[in-house]
Amino acid sequence: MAEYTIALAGNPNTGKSTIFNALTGSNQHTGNWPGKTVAQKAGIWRWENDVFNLVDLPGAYSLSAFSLEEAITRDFILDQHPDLVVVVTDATNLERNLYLVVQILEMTSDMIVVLNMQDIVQAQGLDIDVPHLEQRLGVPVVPMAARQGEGIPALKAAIAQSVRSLPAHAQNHGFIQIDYGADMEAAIAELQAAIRGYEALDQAYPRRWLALKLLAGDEKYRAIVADTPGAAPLLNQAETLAEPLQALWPEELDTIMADRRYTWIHSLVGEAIHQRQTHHVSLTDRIDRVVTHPVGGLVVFFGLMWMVFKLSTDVAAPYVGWITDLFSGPLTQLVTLLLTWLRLDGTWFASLITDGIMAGIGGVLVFVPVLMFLYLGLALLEDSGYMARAAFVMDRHMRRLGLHGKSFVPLVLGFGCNVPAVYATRTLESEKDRLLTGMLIPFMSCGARLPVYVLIANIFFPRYRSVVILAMYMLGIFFAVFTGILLRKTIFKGKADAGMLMELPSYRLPAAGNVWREMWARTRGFLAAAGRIIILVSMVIWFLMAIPTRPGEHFTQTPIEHSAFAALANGLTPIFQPLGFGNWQSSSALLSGLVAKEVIISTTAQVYHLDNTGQETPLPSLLIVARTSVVSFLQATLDTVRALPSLIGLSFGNANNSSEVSGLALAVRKNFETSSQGYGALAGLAFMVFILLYTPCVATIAAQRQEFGGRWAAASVVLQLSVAWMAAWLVFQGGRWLV
Amino acid sequence: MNISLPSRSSKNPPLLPGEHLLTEVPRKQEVHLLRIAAGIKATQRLTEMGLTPGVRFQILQNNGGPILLRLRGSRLAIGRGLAAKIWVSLQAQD
Repeated sequence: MAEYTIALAGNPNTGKSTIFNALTGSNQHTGNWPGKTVAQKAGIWRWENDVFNLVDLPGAYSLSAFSLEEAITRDFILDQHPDLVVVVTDATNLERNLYLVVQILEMTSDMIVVLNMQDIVQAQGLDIDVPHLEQRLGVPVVPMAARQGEGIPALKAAIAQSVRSLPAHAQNHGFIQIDYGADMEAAIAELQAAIRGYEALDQAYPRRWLALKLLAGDEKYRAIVADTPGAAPLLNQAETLAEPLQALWPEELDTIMADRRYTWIHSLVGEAIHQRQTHHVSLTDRIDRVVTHPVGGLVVFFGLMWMVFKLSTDVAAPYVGWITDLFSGPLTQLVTLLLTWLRLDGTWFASLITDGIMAGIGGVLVFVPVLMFLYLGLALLEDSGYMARAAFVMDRHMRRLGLHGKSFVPLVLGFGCNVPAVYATRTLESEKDRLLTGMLIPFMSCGARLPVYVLIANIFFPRYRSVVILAMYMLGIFFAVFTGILLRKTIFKGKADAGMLMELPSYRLPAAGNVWREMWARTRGFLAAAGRIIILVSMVIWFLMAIPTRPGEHFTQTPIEHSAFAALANGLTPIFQPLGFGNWQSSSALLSGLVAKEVIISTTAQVYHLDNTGQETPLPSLLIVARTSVVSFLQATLDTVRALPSLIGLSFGNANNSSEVSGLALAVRKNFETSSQGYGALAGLAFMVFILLYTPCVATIAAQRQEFGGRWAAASVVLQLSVAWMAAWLVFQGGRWLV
Repeated sequence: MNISLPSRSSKNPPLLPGEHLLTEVPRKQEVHLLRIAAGIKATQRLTEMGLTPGVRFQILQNNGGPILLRLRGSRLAIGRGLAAKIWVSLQAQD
């Protein structure tokens, strides 16, 4: 039994991830590249007793390290010496795709080239001479149609055969040689001979590859040579050799090298590909006439975004309701039943289980339907090839904010839920765009904040409810734009903006398997990362609420206003004093709102003693619990199907119409009037602004930590809190001054 | 074919007859690349995407936003800022 490391490389949109999934099945795990915010996927499969570890390298067009992704790909191949590199190419776009192949071939000849999308090749009437490609490239070439699942066994066999026939970790010095022209080849040969004399460098890098890098004046490798003891003469030699060459062309030498590579590729493609029928304007080009049009494209973009948005709100809502009901009803009853049977009912342990852990798990699971539908919509857009068009259309508008066109999609998703929006920043190539977008997402008013606006607006602005709520959304956008510009001028200053440069892939019908897998992988990622934190924080809050602060009261037997939680909230109250809502009830609501915004409502009800969940219901039998759960799930499915037509209709979500003045409303109003000394409405408005702008929830923070690292997540929390405080202060104090 | 000439800017080399900025070329026009007047990094980035000296390509979309090209069989989108540094000459229309 042997173990091999296989690296999977390729241009973006070549079906690399489909092949990754097909090879590894469910045996995969995701993480980040060490010290980087780029996601790393790895997986394994077994084949004839051997173990193959597959590392998915980030998609890259070339290897000159303009982006983090390119640097990761290059360094992995150079430093980790994988046993084999599998380069996935889009066979319908071979001339462009072979550039990466050629660049990797100059580093290692332990390679297999995959010609993916054979189905489209057939449809376009192209004939590809595979043996000829194999002969010219000097490596195995495997045609496949990964979406249709064709060619996977052949690829596995080819991989196994390749790694077994290789001497283990052989010196990889590259077999094929692009002819760079007599003038350049002479210099390359001389430099190669010189490198032979520097053992450390010769051991670490493929000789010809290093010669090319030094000749082209690559900064990174010049620096490495400069740091190698005794290697200074090599640098001088490279400069001496480059100088007369440079004088031959107005362009830089690396441009000439790229030109020579493309010339070589162009002739190879000319030999290997034959067009059987005359080329016609493809369907993709016809669709693109509309979809990339400045006006038509915007209409299509907003239409599709609206559908994704509806999918994750209205269509997912019945399932959200089902999970909420399941947790507040049957499941809690079931657990209580179990605890009673264990004679633990009424103890602190029972309280921890039902009020702490169960509430926490419920809080996590309500996100699941929202996320699954959101990911479904996103995966469909991505898999069809549309996402690149969205970036194209939005680029000119996002430029003004200093953002990339692709940033718009995660920001829009933020209106549904900030958590998946943070994960959606992964589609951005540059780390700067990803970070900046990730910092702005929390300003997008997520669905969970809406019920809080409804509650407060109903109390203070019953007549202008819709206007006030809409104003909150607009205010969020305003702050995102404002903060974006501010960050661009400060923290992100000087990090040169690369400008858009990407290929638009051909449109394809989304493959159900791909979409399903992508949706599950992302949902699992959320459950693993955010789930743990939400449950933990829920337990901490339960614990704080259970600790008595008055003598004579017992653990878990204390009214909430006497608990450590209230004491903590009370400690925060002075901070909110200048904002008009300096009362411990508001602080409690905001504190619990850190777990999830929707919790604010239940906490508000709890702290104002209007909790009506305490009614004693007789415990049902297990059978009834199971039956009602199943029935309600079916009902939810039915409601979801019923909600589907709303994807096309433009009925803006009907916010709850329960505007009756309840006891809660009166209590909240009275409290706000007191803490603001008579400016209750202003304080209410400031409270809404604060809820809009402050840290959305621990799930978002967890997502930010996972994607950008702890420091950026912390920075985001500080940013949100300070912006929220200042904005609420302006609203309250400014309003008081005006009134 | 009537193309308005772009104003001369100090950043770009002087405009010679028959030279056009990529941003000024209308849809459907076939051109070939003369030179890229950008920084070393940006030039290298464009070159590696296939924009090598003299290469022929067609403009698919030029409407104020990024520019879409058909180049070496692929559809390449180039941000306007980058495109304003690319000099081309027009190819006779087929």
